[in-house]
Amino acid sequence: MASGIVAYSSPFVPAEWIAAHRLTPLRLTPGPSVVAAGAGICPFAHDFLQASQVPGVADGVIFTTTCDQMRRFAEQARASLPTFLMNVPATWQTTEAVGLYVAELRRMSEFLITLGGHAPTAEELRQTMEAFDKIRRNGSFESRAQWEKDRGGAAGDTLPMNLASSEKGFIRIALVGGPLRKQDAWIAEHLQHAGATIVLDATETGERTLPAPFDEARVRTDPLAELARAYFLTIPDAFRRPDSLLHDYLSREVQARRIRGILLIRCVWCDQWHAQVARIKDSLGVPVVEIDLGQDDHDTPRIKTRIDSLLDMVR
Amino acid sequence: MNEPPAQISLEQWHHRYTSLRAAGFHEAPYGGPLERHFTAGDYRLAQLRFDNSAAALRLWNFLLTETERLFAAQRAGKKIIGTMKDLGTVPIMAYALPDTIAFYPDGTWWIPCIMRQSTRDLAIADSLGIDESFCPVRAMLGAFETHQHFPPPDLLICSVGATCDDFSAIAQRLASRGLAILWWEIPARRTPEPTEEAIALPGGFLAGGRQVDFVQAELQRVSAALAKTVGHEVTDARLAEGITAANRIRDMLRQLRNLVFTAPRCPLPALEMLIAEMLAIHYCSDRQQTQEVLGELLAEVLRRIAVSAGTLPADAVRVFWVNPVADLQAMNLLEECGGRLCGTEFMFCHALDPIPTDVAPMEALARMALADPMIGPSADRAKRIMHDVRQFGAEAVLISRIPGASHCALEGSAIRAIIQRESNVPVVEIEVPPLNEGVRASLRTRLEALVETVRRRRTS
Amino acid sequence: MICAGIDGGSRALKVVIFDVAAQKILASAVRDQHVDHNGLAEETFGALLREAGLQRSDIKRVIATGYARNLIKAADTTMTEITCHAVGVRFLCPQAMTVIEIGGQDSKLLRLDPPPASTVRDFAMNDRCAAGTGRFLEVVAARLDTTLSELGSLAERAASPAAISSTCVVFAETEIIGLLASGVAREDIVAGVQNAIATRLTAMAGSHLESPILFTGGVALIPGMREALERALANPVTLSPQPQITGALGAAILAGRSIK
Repeated sequence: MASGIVAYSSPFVPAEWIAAHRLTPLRLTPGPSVVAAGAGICPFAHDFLQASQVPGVADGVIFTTTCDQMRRFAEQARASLPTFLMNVPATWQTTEAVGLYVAELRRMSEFLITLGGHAPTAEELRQTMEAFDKIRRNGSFESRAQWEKDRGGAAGDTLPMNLASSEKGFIRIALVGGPLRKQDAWIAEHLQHAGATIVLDATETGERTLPAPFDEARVRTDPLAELARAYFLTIPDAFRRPDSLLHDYLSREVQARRIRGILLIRCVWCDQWHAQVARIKDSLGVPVVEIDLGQDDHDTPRIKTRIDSLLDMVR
Repeated sequence: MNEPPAQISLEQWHHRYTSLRAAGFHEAPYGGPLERHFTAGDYRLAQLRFDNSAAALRLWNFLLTETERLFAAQRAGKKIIGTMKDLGTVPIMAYALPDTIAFYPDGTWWIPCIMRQSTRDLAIADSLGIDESFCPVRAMLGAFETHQHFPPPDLLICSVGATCDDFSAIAQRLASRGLAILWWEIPARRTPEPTEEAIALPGGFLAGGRQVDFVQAELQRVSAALAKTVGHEVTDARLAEGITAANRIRDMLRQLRNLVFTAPRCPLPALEMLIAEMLAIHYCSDRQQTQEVLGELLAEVLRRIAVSAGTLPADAVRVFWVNPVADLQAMNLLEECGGRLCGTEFMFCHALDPIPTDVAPMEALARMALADPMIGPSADRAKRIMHDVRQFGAEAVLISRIPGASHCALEGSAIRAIIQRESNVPVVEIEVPPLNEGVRASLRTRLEALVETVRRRRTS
Repeated sequence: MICAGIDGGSRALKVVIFDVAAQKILASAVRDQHVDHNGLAEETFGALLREAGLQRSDIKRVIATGYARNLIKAADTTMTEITCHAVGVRFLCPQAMTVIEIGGQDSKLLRLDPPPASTVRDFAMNDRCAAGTGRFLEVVAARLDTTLSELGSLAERAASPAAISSTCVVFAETEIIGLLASGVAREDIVAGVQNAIATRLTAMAGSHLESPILFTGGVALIPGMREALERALANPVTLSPQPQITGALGAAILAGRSIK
């Protein structure tokens, strides 16, 4: 038994909500899978499914509808593990969408209780949220992953990209795009080796998907509503309609962090991020190079060539 | 005037049209010889084979004049509503309003394979970063830039959420070009929670009451936007009338499907059936004419069945077709290989089911929207397919994959596995690219092999 | 009664002359394919008849199958390779339930009805991409400056098979260039490609795979491929006794049955 571990990968699943149910949230970053994903199948979604099904990793798994294939993989997961498919609305500017997100959190609560969770009181939720928020406000990105690891003693997956401190003479690069798997961590090493420094990790597994800090007053009066606000209304992503949050975020951060080049990373077959490439190229005014991961994990020469060409362009 | 049923080429239709005219057949205002569309640039019509009935000619003329109809409607001061992805829901609301018509820009996915053989639409999509790795619907991006296929709509509406990622991304790219889109949310259909009311949906599925309420609220938003654009409220009375009209069309299509798919000899070819079924979702921008077109087709089919006439041999293999094709030639090819259509699930089967009339109209539409096969589990789709396979007596299932569509890679194999588990019917997956010349030989082999497989099983 | 089957494959032409009454192969031939499919078929068929001491008039019926089936004028009729392989396999291996056939251009997975029926329950074939076909091995052979026939012995010497994309030949070729540049041994690359082809087949197999599984087609002759398939499918895979002629044999058997 995995002792109350709930695996998920979507940033729209609040870890606090799982933790407040006295279960262990595990934002699972998949590693290499024994079975290869077929043509047209998202390698991240595929590897996430495989990783979550390994005996002892998790007692339950949460998928979201933010990706069409994740939604469909939830159907497969059900056969072997308690599975919850959370409707995360693509629309976000209406009260109906926010209401649906909150309703889905409530429905998730029922699922968590079936896994042995305990329905939190408002006070318990508030305390959990404040504890998470404190770490996010005071610490670096890695500390959140560390906190989740310490909190649950689970697999302790850390997120692959460690933001380098801004080093003089290094080219300031942003990573933008979808989620990364463990085996994609070499990209950061290669960038560093090639003379770049990652000053923004705006991939799905990076800082872009951190929720906004909680409003202290609102956490006290209505913690669930505040949890929904911070997660649902502030995380920019390619799947949202409209996707203006994402483009506002990227414009702001590219300027503020004096970014000179963007490595747009997507899983092969990912339409949501592939469709963003031309637009990001047009709007941000810095060189952008797209790489697609997951064709095969030994596809590094091709990807390295592309990364090097980005750095050459910037130079 | 009534020649024996046959499939004929565009050139043969020239002579057929002449003889129909000489016999004094009645033509619709959008009538005329089929080749006029070829002359206007729909060059790929020359590669198709058509049913030789006057009813089929009317169907084709109706389809191929939608562009003219849309521009004429706009000149006449009607409001044009562009509705994307939902497949059958929003048009019912739009047509419920006076002087309002709706169309699907999504329909431009057929432009490269049937209509004007300019590749400009796709080239524009390419230039916007939406390359051939996306679903053929990307042609829509070009169409919005050129204004050649439809006028700029007064309101553009798109459903998102539990839809396919490729379509959602293409629509977002459209919005990034400055087109205002009203997005409305369709959630993934789920089984009702123990704590909520289970609502019966068209097609035999169930949804939780909270989901029905949510979709109804979303449709109210759409309704408010329509009212603001058109200047008339979407009242319950208007909506009920729209639902009645939609149900009339759906009823005609159900009759047509039942007759065609169960007749001992196939009375109407696959290609015309595909086009006819598509009318259920968009009415080809004229709801009244849709009824008349379907009425003529039904009459023709009944006439053929009465004399045991058909376009194909009586022993043609009965194939159930899953998913629409981007290249219409594939439908002809099935029949050339010895198959016939006996059931379809083109991803809009919910638009063929009767809309409930025993609940408030907006709730009825919400229920219908939630019955969309795209938003539910693959198992639901497979269940419905199995039901229809049995009902129509299909001998094989053909799952056609749409290149670039995010749902196909997983859903096709899931449906195949379920059908294989629950029946002894052969299931084969094929991929049909928008223009299939390059893969025609291998496509033919697959279809011929499927037909042979069934024939050998018949006699073994 | 004697019948013949001609399998006009994309890479090789196969001819079988079959004694229907004795249920016995009288003669068979395999030739590399030519641009003139019909010419090669005529020449090979004629030579085989002479070798067997037969006249054309002794052959009661000929069925052509394969990619070039419609170009072969000697044939009385055509059948697809799906049907012919099923029949050929049932003759050679009566208990087979699943057939994997990897040819030059196509790869196929056939699920058969239980014996003694030789009918196909259903089948799957590769998409447009040549990954998972013999063409993939040809690309690799050319890139590694070797021949198809030498690939097997190279693979047998692999110490650590390289991981290679199973989804696209073009990507895979790029990967191979990269692997060569990184000093990966040719043997390991070939073994990696065999694994990639096998992996591609597993995607086609779906969740229902019944044993015994028989492996046929020209690629079955390459050492190491059967083992790669066994690993990928996690099931025993048996090599067809005469893998290259299975389709032509099935066509010949069907020709005999069509007369009865």
